[in-house]
Amino acid sequence: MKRDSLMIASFLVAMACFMSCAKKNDLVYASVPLVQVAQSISDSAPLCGSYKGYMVSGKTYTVAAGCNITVNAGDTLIMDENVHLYMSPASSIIVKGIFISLGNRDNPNWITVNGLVKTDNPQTPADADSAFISTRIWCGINCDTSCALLVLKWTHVEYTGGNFLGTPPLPSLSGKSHSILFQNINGSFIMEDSWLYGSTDELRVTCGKICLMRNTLEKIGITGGEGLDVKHGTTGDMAYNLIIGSATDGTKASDVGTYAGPQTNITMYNNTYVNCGYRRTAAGHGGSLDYEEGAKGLAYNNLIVNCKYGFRVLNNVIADTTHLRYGNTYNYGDSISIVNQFYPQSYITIPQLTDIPQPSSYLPSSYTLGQVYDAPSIVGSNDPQFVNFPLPATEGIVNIAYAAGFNFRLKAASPAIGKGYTGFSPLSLVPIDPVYGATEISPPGKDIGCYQLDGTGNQH
Amino acid sequence: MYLFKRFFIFLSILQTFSCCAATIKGNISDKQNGGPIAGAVVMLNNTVYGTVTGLDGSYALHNIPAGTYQFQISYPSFKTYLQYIGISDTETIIINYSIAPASTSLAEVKINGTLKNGSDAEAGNIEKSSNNLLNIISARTIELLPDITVANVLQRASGVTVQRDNTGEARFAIIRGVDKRYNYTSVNGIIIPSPDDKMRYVPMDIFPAEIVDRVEVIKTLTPDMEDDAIGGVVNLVMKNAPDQLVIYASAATGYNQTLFDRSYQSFPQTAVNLQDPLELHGAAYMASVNDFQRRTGDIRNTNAPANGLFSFTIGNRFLNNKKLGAIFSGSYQNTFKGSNSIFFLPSIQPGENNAPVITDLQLRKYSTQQVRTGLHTKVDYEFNKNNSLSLYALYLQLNELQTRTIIDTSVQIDRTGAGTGQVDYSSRATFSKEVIKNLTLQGKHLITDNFKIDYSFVYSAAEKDVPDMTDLQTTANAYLDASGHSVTSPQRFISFDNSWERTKDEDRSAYLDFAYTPFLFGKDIECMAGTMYRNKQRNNYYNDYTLLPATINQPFDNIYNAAMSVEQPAGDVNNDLNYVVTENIAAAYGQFKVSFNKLQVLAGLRIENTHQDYSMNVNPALVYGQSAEYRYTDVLRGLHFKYVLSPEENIRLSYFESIARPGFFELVPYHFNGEYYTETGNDSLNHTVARNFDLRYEWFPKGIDEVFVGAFYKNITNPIEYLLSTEPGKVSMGELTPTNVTGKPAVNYGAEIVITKYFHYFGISANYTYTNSSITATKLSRLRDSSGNLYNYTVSDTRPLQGQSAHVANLSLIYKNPSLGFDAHLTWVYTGRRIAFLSAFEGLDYWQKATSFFDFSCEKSIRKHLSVYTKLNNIFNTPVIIELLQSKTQFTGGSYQLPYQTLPNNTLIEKDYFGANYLIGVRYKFD
Repeated sequence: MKRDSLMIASFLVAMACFMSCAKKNDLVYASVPLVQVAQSISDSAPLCGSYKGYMVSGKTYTVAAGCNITVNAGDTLIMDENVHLYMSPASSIIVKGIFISLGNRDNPNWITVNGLVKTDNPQTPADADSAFISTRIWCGINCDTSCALLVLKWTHVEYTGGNFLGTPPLPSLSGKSHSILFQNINGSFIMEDSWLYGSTDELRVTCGKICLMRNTLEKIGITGGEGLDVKHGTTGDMAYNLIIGSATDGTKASDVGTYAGPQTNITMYNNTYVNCGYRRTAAGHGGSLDYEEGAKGLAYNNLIVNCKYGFRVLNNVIADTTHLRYGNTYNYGDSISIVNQFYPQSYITIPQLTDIPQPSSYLPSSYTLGQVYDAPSIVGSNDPQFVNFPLPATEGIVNIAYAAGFNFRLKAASPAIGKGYTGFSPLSLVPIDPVYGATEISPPGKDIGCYQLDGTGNQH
Repeated sequence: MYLFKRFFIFLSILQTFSCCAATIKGNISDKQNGGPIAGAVVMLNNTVYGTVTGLDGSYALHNIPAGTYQFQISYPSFKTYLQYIGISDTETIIINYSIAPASTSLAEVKINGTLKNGSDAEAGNIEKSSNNLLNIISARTIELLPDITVANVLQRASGVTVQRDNTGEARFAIIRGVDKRYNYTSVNGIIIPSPDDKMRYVPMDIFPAEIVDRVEVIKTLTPDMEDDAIGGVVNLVMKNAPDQLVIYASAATGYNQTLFDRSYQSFPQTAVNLQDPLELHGAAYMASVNDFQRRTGDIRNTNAPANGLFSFTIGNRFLNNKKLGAIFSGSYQNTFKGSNSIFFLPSIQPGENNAPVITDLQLRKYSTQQVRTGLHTKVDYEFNKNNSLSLYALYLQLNELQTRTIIDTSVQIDRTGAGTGQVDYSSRATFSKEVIKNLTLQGKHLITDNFKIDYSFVYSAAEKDVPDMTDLQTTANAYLDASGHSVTSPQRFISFDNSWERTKDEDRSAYLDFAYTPFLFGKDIECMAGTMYRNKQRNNYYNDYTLLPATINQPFDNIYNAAMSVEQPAGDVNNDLNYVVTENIAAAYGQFKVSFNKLQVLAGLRIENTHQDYSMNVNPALVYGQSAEYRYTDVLRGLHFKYVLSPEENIRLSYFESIARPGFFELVPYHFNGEYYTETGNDSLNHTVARNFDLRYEWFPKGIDEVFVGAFYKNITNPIEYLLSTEPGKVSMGELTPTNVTGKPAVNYGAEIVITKYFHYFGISANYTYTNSSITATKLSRLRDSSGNLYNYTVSDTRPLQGQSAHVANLSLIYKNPSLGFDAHLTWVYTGRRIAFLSAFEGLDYWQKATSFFDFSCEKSIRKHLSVYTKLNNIFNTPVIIELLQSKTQFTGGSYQLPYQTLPNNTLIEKDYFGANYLIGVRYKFD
């Protein structure tokens, strides 16, 4: 018996002596992406790889088909004025460092597809439009989480939204591209006085500080997608933009995103929205400006003409209505279906006394938010009197998704003149700098819409 | 417990009531092992007095007049017993007798040959004598159970709950509250690979119940077993060659109640393109619309044919001394099922103060045809009493043809009240084929009286092929017309998705075990040592194409008229779902077993070395972690005590260490970009390690009766949970990532009780498991900060492990009357509430409510070797209900009012009805 106990005891001791051992980490090796040392950029050969430095004024650069040009983290690539950068199918610009395009009024820059001709006429349906030809378009400007600064001044960005060939160049991308993607919560994205023309998908800011001002956006999104769409952690200003024919909304702010970043806070003011919201197949998804899912901000002096839906404030998931102020929205509609959605049914946009036309002139006295109403009396009334854009529209609203040949400035007699509210300030969160920041953050304007009678506002 | 005792007493009274004349009674048992003999004929020759023994071997003959009789006990393959007795009117004579088999020649050779294969008595005997703590369900029990797949059988085992798929079919086993990822499945002790595209766990419904000899749920691991299990191991022991000719056959048919109530939605399997355009035409091929078939987008209402289930087993031993044994089992099950589901689509991100938000109401209908084929065969040759060789082959195939139609009403878009809003339609058509193959060559050699060598060479493969899965999406909107009736607009075409996915996993393994039993220090010390090596090659292929409307705002009437264009004509194979894994596992162990009087000690060590790598089909220059390599070695200790209190009682105490390896795809740093967060893999995951303690008291009072009472405790380091990584600046969205939860280890403990008791024709089998687990991890909480901004705060959240129920109970009432040739089984499975899905936000986990499933089966012999049986499953059409533990009041009024919110207080998220299943069949048994 004693010997048995001894044996059992010695087993236990022996067992205890073997320590259960496990290394700290199971992983012993993981491949890392290749960082190609950037070359100085040159126009001597088609581009493919990592670049930094200056793109020289007056020169034309070409990106080889299916190639990415990459700005490495820590590097800067600057386009001087009057530079043409021709993109090939499925090529893209990947920004891990800083990318700056310094066009100006007289010498804008072009990032486009050589040889594509715009089919800007009302008889061309979207599916036949050169803006969306999948075999020609390129994959846009894609910024990584390390991109500290993206500046586009007086720059034409055209024919984006293509499909990546092979592996998408950033993990946050899937096979299909946006027009521009920005996603650094601490970075700044400035796009001013620029043009975004033709993209099968939207401009997307997942997070970051933004100043998107005085731009013209045409034909954004083919069967879905907004003009400017921002998510959780995005703060800044969207102002004086002219947005024509976006598939869904023109500008949208949402605080969707499940991580601890700042609440989405966007001021949207003095924008002009024309013919937006008609290419989204599913109904009810917005056609001008939109706040949803906890986003907050200010929205004043916006001009909405013949858009499928007016200003939408969502209830489910609700925007941060306690921190959302808005007013001085100018609505115009050619048809009963448009005017009946000035305050889109089922949502919670509060009609404001400062809105034009006066909500009390056509909403039922018992109006509750989101209620279906019928207002035939205001069909075609309150023409904003654009300098050159016939209203009621003589051509199909759906297919006029371009600005060429029109002038959306206001006539002096426009009822939108002087109806703006100027008692607030832009957020102004980005640096002000002739190169490394915004040139000018335009304060709110006294005329509704993106063009001011005094010549300020949108310069296109 | 009190009720339970009362029930026992009640039954005992019933049993002893009929005593008013001369009676002969007693128990008949098997001389070799003491197990009860059910179905033995007991009679007084040349009289009308006769009966058949019950499940517990008991019998009674009543009202026998005085006289002298020839008392006879007979049972096939056993020696007939004869005895003369004389009785007077008033006495009660008790005759207990153990009968012996007619022949014992093979019983001496075969270790497990002493008991009839697949019998309950054999199962009990293994439970009693095993080195491990285990629960066994025998083939005979499985036959009587209302279950047709092993997955359904598993829910009858103590401490096991099942996860069901969308047809209501049990699919995965959760053992003792730890997720399926922490268990493995083996066939005859050999671990088998999984056809799953991402994980290691094996879908248990691929195994038809009929081909299995017994199902073992092994809850403690000894060093000679593979160590990749924390909850436990499901080991399927397949039928062995019997000692004499055995033929079993069955044929059955049945129907699912749902398909009596509604039509069956189907598409032809011939519509499916088995290969995608890229596979057919090469890498540079640009697909056009004509490369895609449209018939899967044309789901039609039909009537399902009746189910057909067939099984066949034949086995015998041949040659002189019956050296060659062979058995073949086949099973074919063709079943049709329908299930209906109400599903509320929650917004992943809640409102302020984590207020839940529901965005859509979905009405889903599933129609599923499953064709399950199982074949296995084993040939063994016994050279002599010391040397044998066997070849085992298993082939399992599960073909599934499924449609899922969804009508989705948005309560977010255009919703002004009931009957309004955006309505989206989805019709998904899936054909999938899963295969598991195993080929094992095994040798057993007794070199000397105390030295034994066993070896196995194994090839196993698992495959899953899901070609040409399509999903047709269209949209419309509903509004109220002038008279207030809801009208739905004509549909518009959104998209037609086509995807191809294929997984193949191949294992090549070798096992070598030595057992040496020297006589040392005055004792027989059984020493075992062994080694194993397994090479795994696994690859996954995925490609998809989306067909979009060629014209915008295109009206939709049917798929054939849709004008479509291919969004990505080149396809999409440069993605993370195209990946290859190799894994080499080498292990060695040593253990010894020694008995000190009543105490048996088994102690040992196992060393497992894992070397794994993966690579995915993406450009390594662009992506981090295109390939990676893993190496780790675990030294795992096991110490198992068994104390024999009495011949009928054991106390077991076990300590063992075990691991769980991450799923294959979890390590691949994939990115699935979603609206709310990005789902990613995690290449720096470490494997999970657990320390497990078990204590169990076992009592085998008589016959096949048993009582187990036990407790367990598990301390789990590096458990893997899906958590949101929320580092702003590093990621641009929240990232949902499999993560090792560090800090406090997860703890899982509980207690279980198993009781099986037979009273002549009645039997009761019950088990109950209490489990408590706790894990602390981070969640988000959406609140206002001091300046009034909404902010997603990170908070610590303690909760049970996902899928773990505190209370799990099973109860079977068994009636078995051999004289009538009638068996009946009524079973109840209770699974307590558990977390069904984890939310990223505090307080918003979805809980599955407790369920009670009732099943019934019975069998009646109609003539010699032939019986009819019926199985009724889910008799009361029990719904599976998932709820949010938040008041429903916000969803019961206003324009966001939701229908079907029928729970008393909480918000309903999902309610699935699977319908009852009826089956009737005939069984032929010759043995």
